[in-house]
Amino acid sequence: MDLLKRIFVKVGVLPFLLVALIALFSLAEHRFMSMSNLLNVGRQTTYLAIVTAGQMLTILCAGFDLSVGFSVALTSIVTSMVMVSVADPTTAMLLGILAGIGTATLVGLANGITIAVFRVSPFVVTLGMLSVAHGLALLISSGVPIFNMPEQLNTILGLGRVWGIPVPVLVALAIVALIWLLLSRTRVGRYFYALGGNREAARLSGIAVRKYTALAYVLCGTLTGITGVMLTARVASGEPNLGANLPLESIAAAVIGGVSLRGGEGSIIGAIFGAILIVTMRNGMDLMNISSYLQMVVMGCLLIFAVVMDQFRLSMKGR
Amino acid sequence: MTKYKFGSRALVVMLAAAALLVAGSLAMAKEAGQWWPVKINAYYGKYDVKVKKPGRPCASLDGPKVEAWIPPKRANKPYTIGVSFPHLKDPYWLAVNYGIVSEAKRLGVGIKLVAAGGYTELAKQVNQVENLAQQGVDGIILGSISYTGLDPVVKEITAKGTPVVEVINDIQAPTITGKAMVSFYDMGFHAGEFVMDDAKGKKDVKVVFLPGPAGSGWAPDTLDGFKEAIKKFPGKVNILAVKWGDTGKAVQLKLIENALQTFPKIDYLIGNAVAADAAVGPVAEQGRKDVKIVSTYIIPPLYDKIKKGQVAAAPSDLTVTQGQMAVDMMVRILNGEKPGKDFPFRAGPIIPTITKKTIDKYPYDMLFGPRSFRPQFKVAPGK
Repeated sequence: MDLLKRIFVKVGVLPFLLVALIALFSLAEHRFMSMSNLLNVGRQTTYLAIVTAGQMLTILCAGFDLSVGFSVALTSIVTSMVMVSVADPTTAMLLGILAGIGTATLVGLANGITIAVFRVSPFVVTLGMLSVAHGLALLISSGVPIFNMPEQLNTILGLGRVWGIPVPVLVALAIVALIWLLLSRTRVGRYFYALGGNREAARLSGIAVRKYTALAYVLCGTLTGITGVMLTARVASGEPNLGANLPLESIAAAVIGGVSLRGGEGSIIGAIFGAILIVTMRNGMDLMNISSYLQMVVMGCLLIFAVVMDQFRLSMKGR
Repeated sequence: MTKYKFGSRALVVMLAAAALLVAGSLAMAKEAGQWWPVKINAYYGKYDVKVKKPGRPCASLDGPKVEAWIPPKRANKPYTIGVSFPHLKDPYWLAVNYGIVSEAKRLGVGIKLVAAGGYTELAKQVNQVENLAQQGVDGIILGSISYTGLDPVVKEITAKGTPVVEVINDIQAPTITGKAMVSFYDMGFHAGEFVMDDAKGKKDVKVVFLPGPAGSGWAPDTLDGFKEAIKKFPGKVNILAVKWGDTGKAVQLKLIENALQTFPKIDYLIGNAVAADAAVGPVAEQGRKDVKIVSTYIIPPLYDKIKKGQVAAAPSDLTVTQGQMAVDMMVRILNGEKPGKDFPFRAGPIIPTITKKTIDKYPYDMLFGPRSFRPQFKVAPGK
């Protein structure tokens, strides 16, 4: 009991939830634990996981990024526009991917500069940017999906496998490892925590607060761009409405994973497990054939429950 | 002689008995909810996507051939069919839901239905379709969010031998197994035909058109179909304005109010069903007796408005029937029949135009299902 309590105080309610859910789903539906479903869940998680990694960086700096949703759509449109306009498939893919990730990084840079330099609330800036990105995606594409993409995009980045592991999972793992290194082993990572925890103290101790705040949004933009490219590969077409639910889902995943919305606290591993939890819940409930209406209710309750438990944990820690 | 007499009497009795039996069985079948035969446009042959334009049937298919749709007699096994919808939050998809559920129950097959939550939720729909496949369903009926975005997942699933039948929305998917749908180009064409017929004898007709969302998979098609239909009009059809907008009532209302302000004389206000529904109020309020409202498709709120004559006409794509036909197609495929050969690869009911004069032939239940129907996500397979 004491051990459980210590685990709870240290890492929060998430591990308990995940274990309980996996037990529940495997009892209710034997297909849940099948290898093909586990790979399926793995692949479905990657997209949310990569965005959540980016989202987590902005939350660490006491902000968040709502623009990730249609930034993914804009990336998808730019990537596919470039790809269909170049004849050679390999060149087309390289240029398309670079253009897509570059676009999302620029969106992140615009967010970062506006928030850090002009000190405008991240809510307003990224909400505005959400609209700008969606408008641009619709303008460029006239609202119509772009198809006839190079075959390889889907067969490699969407469905491909290396050593039996889906390529998207490998990409996500690499990104998580890099962000983990950045946050726990580099000065930049420490600065993110510091300026999220107490901006004024960070400034007084000589951290270039503006620069690092902006950097968090730029990195978030880049990761969003990677997600956009990966999702485009998954659906094998440029879609002007892709990723609309990602902003709220990625914030939810990070918060469920113990990242504090006040900034300065949380770990990448927790955030990723938050994403895994959300996708696993959906998959398990789909497999159990729970009504799509009820699923929405359950997901909402889960988010609130996780945050309440987190408050409870903080008060236990304080004692 | 006697023998002959006896024979003829026996024949008469037998004939009468047979007639009674047929009449009786027809009446009985009606009671059991017989909705067929339905006249359909059928397309046979091989589906080759390279000769296909969005919104129009594939050029590699033979058709349309007008024929009667007859459902399969039974399902050889109690199959379980997965169903994926873009969403289930308006009466349109509710009617499809009713068609699928009622036909599944009739044939004794099971249904597992998921809804993605809206037309922006492509990524979620892909996940949901994968999850359905994981459950080992026998086949999947798909109402796709995007024309191309689900092609890879359809390819993956059909490669494993699970058939996928598209319903309502069109899809490119080169490996799709069958399609139950009508084209919205035809819907616009029918609306155009109504206007031509109604305006017979006029030299100059003024029209404002509100298709719906720009860049959606259906709204531009209605406009194209309408324009094609009015080409045959002997007088001049003057399209004063085309106003695009999302199918929210507030958005459409604003567009209509502005159009009524801008144009002092409009003969026909034509548009998506939400626009037609929203137009009734302002047109009456401003006493615009010149304006006739025509919709490009029908939704429940329009039903009573057509009855009262507030809306002049609306073609119906018979969504309930499309849902029923999708289940029939899937059961036929699972029974071992070949789409494109044993039954149409693509089929959709022939579109009727609902007006005040014809509406009594189309009871509410036939168009939308019973008013008491509630969304249903699950049907257990029969024995």
